[in-house]
Amino acid sequence: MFKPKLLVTTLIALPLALPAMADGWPPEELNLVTHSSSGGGGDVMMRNLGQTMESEFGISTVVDNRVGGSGAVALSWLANQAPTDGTAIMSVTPTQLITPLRADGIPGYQDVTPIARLFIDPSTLYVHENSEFETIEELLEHARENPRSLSIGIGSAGSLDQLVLQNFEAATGIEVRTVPHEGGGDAVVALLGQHVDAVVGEPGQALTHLDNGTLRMLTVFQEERLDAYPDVPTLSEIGYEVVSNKFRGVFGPPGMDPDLANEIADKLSTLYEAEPWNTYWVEGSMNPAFLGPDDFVSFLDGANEEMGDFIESLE
Amino acid sequence: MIEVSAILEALLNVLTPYTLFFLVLGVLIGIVAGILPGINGAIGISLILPFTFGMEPATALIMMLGLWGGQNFGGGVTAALVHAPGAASGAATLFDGYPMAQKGQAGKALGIICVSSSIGWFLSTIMLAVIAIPLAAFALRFSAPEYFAVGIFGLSMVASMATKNIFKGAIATLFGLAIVTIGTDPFSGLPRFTFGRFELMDGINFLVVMIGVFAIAEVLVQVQKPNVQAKVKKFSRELPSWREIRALLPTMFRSAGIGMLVGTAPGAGGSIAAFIAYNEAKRFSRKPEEFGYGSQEGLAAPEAANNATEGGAMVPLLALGIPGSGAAAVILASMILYGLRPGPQIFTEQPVLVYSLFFGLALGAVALLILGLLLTPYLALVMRIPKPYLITGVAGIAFMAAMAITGLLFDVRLVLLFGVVGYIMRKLDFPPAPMILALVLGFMIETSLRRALIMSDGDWSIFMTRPIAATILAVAILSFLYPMLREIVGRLRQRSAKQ
Repeated sequence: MFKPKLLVTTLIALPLALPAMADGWPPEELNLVTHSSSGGGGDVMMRNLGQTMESEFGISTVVDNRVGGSGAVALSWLANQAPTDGTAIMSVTPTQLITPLRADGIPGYQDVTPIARLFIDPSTLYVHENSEFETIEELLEHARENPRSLSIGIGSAGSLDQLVLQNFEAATGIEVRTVPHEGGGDAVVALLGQHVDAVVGEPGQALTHLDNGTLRMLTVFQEERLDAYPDVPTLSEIGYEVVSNKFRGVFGPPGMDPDLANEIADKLSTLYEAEPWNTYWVEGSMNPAFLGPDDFVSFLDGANEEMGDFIESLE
Repeated sequence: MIEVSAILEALLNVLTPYTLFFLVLGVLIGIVAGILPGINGAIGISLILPFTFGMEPATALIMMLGLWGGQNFGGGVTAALVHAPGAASGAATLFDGYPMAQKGQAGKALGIICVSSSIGWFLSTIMLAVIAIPLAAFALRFSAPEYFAVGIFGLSMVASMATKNIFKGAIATLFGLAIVTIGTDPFSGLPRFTFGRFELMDGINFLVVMIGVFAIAEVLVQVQKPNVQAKVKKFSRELPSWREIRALLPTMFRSAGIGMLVGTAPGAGGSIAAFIAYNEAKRFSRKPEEFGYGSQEGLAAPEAANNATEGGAMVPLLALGIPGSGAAAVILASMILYGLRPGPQIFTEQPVLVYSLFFGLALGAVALLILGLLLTPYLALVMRIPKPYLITGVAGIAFMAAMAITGLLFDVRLVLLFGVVGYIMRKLDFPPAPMILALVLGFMIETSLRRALIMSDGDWSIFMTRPIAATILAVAILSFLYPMLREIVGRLRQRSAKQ
């Protein structure tokens, strides 16, 4: 049965339907929002993701730095003004949990759509090559015998590094002096100059020095040893449970269609091996730790509770 | 251990039309970015980053370095012409650049800015090439007590900046320090004096204050003056003479050295270097009374210093893989994207790349000199705009700049607020410069003081027992007392002469 009329209507309708059918997400122009300024952690992540998506999907991407208020500006924009059609996604780190806990009236993860967790940044403890401590046990022994004698640098106050350090002190029963800096890089400089005894932070910020031996990693705060440093024991191996959950992922605006969120998460989960995304996370010593929308929300529930207790402990 | 073959290869790499084209383009984009308020080096480099993929890493990085240097010059241009810096590094250029342009010597002012920027840039490149590795080791000896000492040394300049009335200068300084406390407490991570406004959680950007206190206040002052429209303002596009430049060379050399050293210390930046160089120029000057009223030395010093910080910042960037500023952070991120890993080993593993960057920097300084001097007569034309249009334009640029820095309407209101504050300060004869100085240095002083005391577990002797910190602090006290002592001695002499 040949129905010319149907064919004609189909042909007319086809181009209209195509944009919506064209594999859905990603759209031709994707807005990658971040609270970081140029060169900051979230900015570097989104620029790498953008480059990767451009070459993988042939789309164009724009990194949109909505800087200010320790992430509050970007969160408010996402919660109130962002388009919900998947043309804008935002980078998230624990900052997006901590800022709403610190001040009232800032939208939190409950007010937007968590899409995917992508990585966990390992938290580690390292010392200078001239340090007297060869192992984490030696450091612990010294710290127990001489309370408050060790100074340990962290990237910034009220950050995940500080939470890990606090948990580390509580679990092992030691007391140290916490020295916050203006970011992880500054803490590493202080350690290179031997102005602090150790640093708790990501290996990514000290890669060169860890690889050429100027700095020595003593322990890892996560379940498994790091692939890049197979000789460094985790803290749980010597009997203390301290695990860091420094995650990186993406959020979408509130009211996003759950199917769309799932689709975005699926697409992002296929990118780990693509370049320059792969170089980005391997060089940064991150662990791929993908969670889809639903699992990400339950993960955030747990992390948010722990963070809330931590913020209270600071006040 | 100089590898001649690597140097030659690098030179041949850089001297290709391809690389030179992108270097000049980078410098040009940088000049424009610097002139436009709200676009700093980090943003400019991020904007060109996507276009550099597919280039040779060396070419891409040289283009970025060119942009960075060009933007340090552009920031000074805006400072001199419209009384608001186009970039943070141009903050100290405003003090003598603006009066000079107002006197009808816009061409001369921009010419001096251009020549000192280029010379500062070129000299710092040579220093970088010669002593990068020992300098990196020196930078590592700087920790919280030393940064605190540098901050206090910087604040001691208040004494020489506010020679008319030291008490008003002190009040302005304290006001600036008070503004710095707004934001997030750097040691507890909790909001501090934010009045429940999340816009204040990152503190008040000092450019926002500067734009208000200088540009908007100037507009308010100008509006009240009778419009001398009929009389065409004296105006000259004439460039500085060779004799004038030669007389400024010692100032430029000294300032480049200061900029290089300050730039090497991660955490201090172009604006701090420019202020320190400005003050040292005043101290060494035979005519310190001209400073603030269009002194050529006062213009050359901060510009030579802020461009020299680029060479300085390359030291920790290349030798330690540590970015000392926003622009350096973007360059570091791009290097990692290109698969390059800065650190001490890069000098031995990638000598050609490193030497290419050195040559690129040196040629960038030359490109800036040529481009800057070609553009200067046209830029200076801004001063020909009739006053009513000019001040309307300045007000527009000021608000646009405030919007561009963070994208928040809140900051536009802050600019207006600080405009009124600046206007009142001028009417009551409070000097605005010490306030800006306190804003630039306040954060570093607070954090390094508190960090030093954590490091020493509350023991204040840490500032006396560390030789570098103790030396800088001693110099700071002397430099604070010097202008006052000189004045007292001068008065005593006058008195004894009369008797």
